[in-house]
Amino acid sequence: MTSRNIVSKIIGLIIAIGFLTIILLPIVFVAATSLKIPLEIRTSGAIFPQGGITFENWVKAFRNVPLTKYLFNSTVVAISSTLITLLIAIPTIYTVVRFKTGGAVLPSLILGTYVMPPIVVTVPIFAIVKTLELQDKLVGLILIHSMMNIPLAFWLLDSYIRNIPVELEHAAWVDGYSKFDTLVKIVYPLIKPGVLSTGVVCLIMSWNEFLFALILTYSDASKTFPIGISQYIGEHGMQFGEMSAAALAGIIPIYILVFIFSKNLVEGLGRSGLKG
Amino acid sequence: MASLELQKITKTFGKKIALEDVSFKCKEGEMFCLLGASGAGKSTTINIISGIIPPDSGKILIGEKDFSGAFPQDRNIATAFENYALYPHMTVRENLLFPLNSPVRKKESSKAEKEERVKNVAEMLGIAELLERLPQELSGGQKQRVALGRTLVRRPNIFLLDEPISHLDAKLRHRMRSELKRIQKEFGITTLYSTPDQLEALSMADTIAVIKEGKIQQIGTPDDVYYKPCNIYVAQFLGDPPMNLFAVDYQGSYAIVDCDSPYKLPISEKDQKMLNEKMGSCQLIIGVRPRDIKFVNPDDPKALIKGVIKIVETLGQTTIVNVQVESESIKVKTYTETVPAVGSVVGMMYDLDNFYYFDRNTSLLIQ
Repeated sequence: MTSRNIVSKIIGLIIAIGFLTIILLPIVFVAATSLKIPLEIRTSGAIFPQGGITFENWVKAFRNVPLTKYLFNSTVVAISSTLITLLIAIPTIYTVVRFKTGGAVLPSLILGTYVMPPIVVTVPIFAIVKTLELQDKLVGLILIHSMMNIPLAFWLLDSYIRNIPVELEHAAWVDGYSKFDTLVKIVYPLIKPGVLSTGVVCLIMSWNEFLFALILTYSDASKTFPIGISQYIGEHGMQFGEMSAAALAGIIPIYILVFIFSKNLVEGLGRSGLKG
Repeated sequence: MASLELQKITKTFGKKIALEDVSFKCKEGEMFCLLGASGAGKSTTINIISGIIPPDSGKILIGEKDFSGAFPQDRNIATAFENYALYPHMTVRENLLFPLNSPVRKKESSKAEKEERVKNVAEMLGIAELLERLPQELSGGQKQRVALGRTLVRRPNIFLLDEPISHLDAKLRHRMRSELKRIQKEFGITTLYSTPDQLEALSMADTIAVIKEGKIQQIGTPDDVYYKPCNIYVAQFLGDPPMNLFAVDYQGSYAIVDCDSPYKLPISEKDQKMLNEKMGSCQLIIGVRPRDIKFVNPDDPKALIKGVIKIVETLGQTTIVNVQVESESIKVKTYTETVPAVGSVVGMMYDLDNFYYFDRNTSLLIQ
């Protein structure tokens, strides 16, 4: 290895460590806070616990707020909405790419809905959900999250479908398969890495979604984890310790998920041109 | 097994006319070659027959039955694609089983029968030991065999082979040419074969259709299209190197070649009689195949014209010589040992009985 190589590697490493510190510091801070004695949180500005470690915040976080229920709700909503998103997005993007369904209008319309800030449609969406009597129900939130994620999935899957040589599909038709069978037997297995990474992204989006969860759910039976976090702001001020413990409890599952699919995810996002 | 007939098929892509009034018939069990340069409409024709793209107008009859609007999966046609189109996520065995397990054929045979068929086809094509491999682990020749195997396992009514061997190396291509012909005769299945290679067409086909810019130029046996090309395009397309063409003014017993310093070409008596009867005007194009020109001593009275040897391409036993005559270049195919040195002046003698005459306005053969 030449000395130039070593220098460029060291510079790269320093930049990477710098970035990681910026990104990880808040999480380390949250983790440390969750282990501090409540009194210390209010008095000391230090990042790491000075007066010893305690799990008191963790116990209280789960006892004072039905956090387990919220995490369960979030899991149901995230998984269901992701499955619905993929079930709708895969055939849609396939027909749009291959058979030009909807011409040039449909794809731009779908992407247009993604560009729009969600807050713009809160009132009409609330009205629709209310008319359908789906407010404060998990089903309502699942449908809204699916609707929000379809444009994203559509966009992410596009390049995967385009990368399949069209002759493979033609060969399958001639071999005796209908267009739908071809999608299932040939196209789906070939875009599976893309479907997996798209699924993980949709799952994260739904898990973290706050705005619609806030307007559409009000009872413990349907509240999700991000709304749960806000419950630690009470009459007697903010429960920083408990809130930190709850936040960590909520992001750990996502971190595990991303870790399991990390290879797929990096590959998938890299290919779709969506980075960062 | 069935016959295949196309009636007045027309297809346009936007403003571009891909096929115009294409009609032909492949008889049962015949090897029918669609010969044309790239972009002539060969793949479009094949895709229309297999139902992948719909024609704008016209009919497709398979075994006398109209299949024009049928779905690809209902036509019982097997296609081997130019780029093989092997399913990358399936092993060779799964690729071969795929057409047999399709919804339309699932119940035709038992699992054991299907495995047996795959085994037989794999053995016949010499790919039996590759069955558990994935397509990316195969060489070009092996992929081509698997693609062919996938069409063979299912006993279709018609085979469509879209330039099946054009991506193989020369040696393998030569071997596959005879092998394809043997397989086709063994199965006796009507086959439509597209190729840009005239040698492939001439050596394999029972019938050749020459296609240019979406229009069929001529349909006939290999001998027909080679010896009686209907127009200048076909005459030039078949034969390597292509036929030499001379624009001439016909004057009775001879023709004057239209170039910077005109010279006379004698016309045989038989041809004079034919021309006097059939030709529309005296403006003709005479075609002479490179192998019908012989070198003689420039002072020999039999020498019709003189020229200077410019380029010599030796192809083993035979050689292609480019001779400069005034501003024109004439190609001559001759035996290597008789080739004069580059730069030397030669006389050339034409075989007058093998002249082709074309009308200069219509470019059609006069015969």
